[in-house]
Amino acid sequence: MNAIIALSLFGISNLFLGFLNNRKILLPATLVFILIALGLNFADWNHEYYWFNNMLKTNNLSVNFVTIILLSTFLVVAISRSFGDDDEHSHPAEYYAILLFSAVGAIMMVTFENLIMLFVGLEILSVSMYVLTGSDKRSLRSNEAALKYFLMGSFATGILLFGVALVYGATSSFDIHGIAQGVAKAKEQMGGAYGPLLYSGVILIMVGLLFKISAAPFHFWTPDVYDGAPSIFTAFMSTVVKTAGVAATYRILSISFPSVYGLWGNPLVYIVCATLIIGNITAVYQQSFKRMLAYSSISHAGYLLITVLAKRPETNSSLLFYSLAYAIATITAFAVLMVVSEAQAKNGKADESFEALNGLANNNPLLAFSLTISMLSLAGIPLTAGFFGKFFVFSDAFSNPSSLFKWILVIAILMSTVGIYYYFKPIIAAYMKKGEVAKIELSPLYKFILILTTTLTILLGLAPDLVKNIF
Amino acid sequence: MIPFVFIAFIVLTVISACVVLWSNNVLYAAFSLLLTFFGIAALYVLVGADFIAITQLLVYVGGILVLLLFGVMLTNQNGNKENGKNDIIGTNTNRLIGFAVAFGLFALLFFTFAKANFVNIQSNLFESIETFSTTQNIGVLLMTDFVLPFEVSGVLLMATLIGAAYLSSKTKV
Amino acid sequence: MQQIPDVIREIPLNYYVWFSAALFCIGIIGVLTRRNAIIIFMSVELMLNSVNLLLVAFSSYKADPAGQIFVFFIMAVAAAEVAVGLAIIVMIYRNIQTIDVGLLNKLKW
Repeated sequence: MNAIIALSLFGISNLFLGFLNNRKILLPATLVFILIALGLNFADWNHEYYWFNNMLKTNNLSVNFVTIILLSTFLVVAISRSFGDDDEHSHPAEYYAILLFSAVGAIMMVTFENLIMLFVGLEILSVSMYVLTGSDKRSLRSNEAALKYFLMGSFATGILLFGVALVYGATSSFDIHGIAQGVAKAKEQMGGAYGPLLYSGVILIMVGLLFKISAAPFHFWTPDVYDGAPSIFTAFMSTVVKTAGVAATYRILSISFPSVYGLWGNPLVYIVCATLIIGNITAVYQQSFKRMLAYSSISHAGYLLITVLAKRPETNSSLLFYSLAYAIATITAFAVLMVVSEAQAKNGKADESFEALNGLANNNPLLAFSLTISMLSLAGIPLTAGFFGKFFVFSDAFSNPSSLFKWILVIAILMSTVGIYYYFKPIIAAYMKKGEVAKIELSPLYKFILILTTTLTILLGLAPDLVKNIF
Repeated sequence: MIPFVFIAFIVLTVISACVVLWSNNVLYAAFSLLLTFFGIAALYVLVGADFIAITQLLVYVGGILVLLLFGVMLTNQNGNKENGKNDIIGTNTNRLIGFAVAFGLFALLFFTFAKANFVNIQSNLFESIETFSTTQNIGVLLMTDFVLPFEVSGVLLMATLIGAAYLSSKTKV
Repeated sequence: MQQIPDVIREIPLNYYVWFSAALFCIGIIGVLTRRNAIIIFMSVELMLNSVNLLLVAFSSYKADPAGQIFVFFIMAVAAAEVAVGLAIIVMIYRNIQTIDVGLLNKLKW
């Protein structure tokens, strides 16, 4: 909660800092702001508290999610390199301010207690992302991506809201615990005959949220948008937005609608399977590294949803661990992608294909090593964080007694092996393929972030209990 | 009397919404959207939500529609001659799938609602309705129970303000 | 205030729910079948309006003002979204005027 207030204020002070002629101050200032917010966030540790008449609720779970969100934001801002100090078309003050505001929205999505807060938070996040997607105003791809994201995003919002309205009609409450009571009451009073409003409402809410986290039948906008947006904001979208979206989905499904599990669980099974299959299989055919990462983010949404579906007591910690591992690895991958694609630019256009990575290891061992570790982590190879992320998720699914989960598990494991194939493509390009990448000069901060994320990935892979015990 | 008024406004709203749907001229679509918004405002009055009805007129008709008209005019400079549908985005949207999805959804919603039991919802209808003054209630609630979303929408508006100003400003090339 | 219960008594809630569903589906058809960005956008507004009407109807029939508060927020957010959306559309229009209309037809829905 304190983090929300702090970030809103910092966003505005960032805008004022933009009036100064010295652009160099913006990046360190934003990093300090995020660290302060991260510190304030821990003030809520170990006591549950309802804020402002049950609008928000903070507990350890939400503090952990906020930590992941702010950590991802921190890493993304750190690799932004002030959006090119020399580029007079970029407006770093505005970008940083909007990033901070969107972090506010993301925090509201993981702490909401009332659907109004979910809606407002989701909209803060989405509107900021529409703007940031289109922030490369001279690039048609970026424009197109912004338009598409905007139209699909507001469409999804409409669906979500219709669901909310129907659930309100059935339970007369916007409070997620109030809804849970309303659902229970509706079930016992009418013996199921009351349900129609509730049923359609739950399904529509789920569809609206799945649109935002790009699960399978609703994923079609994702590759184009992720591909078209500037890489730095794609990194933000595929980590912070996804984490917040999954957390919000988990929160509302597990708190408000656990008593109608069959209703949303059964469709979600098919959605999870479709997400895993489509995300992984399509990723195999991609020629562009960035587009491959977009499909990979779809498939990881599938893995995250497995644990939402499994409904075990361990779900909280698995979800947190997976999100953390995924966020760190993805940000590393994007950090490498950004510098390499710029160094390999042809005709002023960044080259984001796999060929751009050819021979990366010769002159840039650090970049190649970070890339390798992040890809291994995303693929779920042992001794990286991603392995334990997948392991926890799969064991959640395995310990669920329902036989359905055996099938999900089979598909998930099959698809992870498919994943290994395409995650090795950039590694092979970097180490085996012949090519020339000139030595890329990295700023100390950039180097530090690469080393930090790589170390974290390995550390979590060697000793997952370090973090798992906290979660 | 009142059912007739209700039906008249419903017919007005549906017809003008269909004009938005099928009109080939963006300007006509925008003007029929005006009628839709008016019709819905009238329905708000009928259902007893005076404050929301006025807000609908102020925000939707006075704000959103005017903005949309600005958008139409700003993007319509070439006229509609060479480019009949004023395409801004791509060509291929699969109409059949679109209609199928929407009609399927409507059929699904219609039949589920037909089964819904509204008796229960209406049972507690007249308990507190005599004191149901919407404007005062909404005002008090916005400043008490819902003060956090009220304040936080300021962040949303701030982000929007910066974003819209940034996106629509002219790049100096 | 005396007339309001009469009005509500004469029109069943079902009518509002059905009408909202119909309007919502008209909006969905618009989003899925139209090609013009501004018209798609108007269709989204239709969807939001149907949600508003549904919420207001429930809120009145339940005599619970929370639904109307939600509508208030939906309206505020819709206005914000329109501003951003039109900024994006205008930005695109500036670009393709100087480049080529055909370039944006790459969109794969």
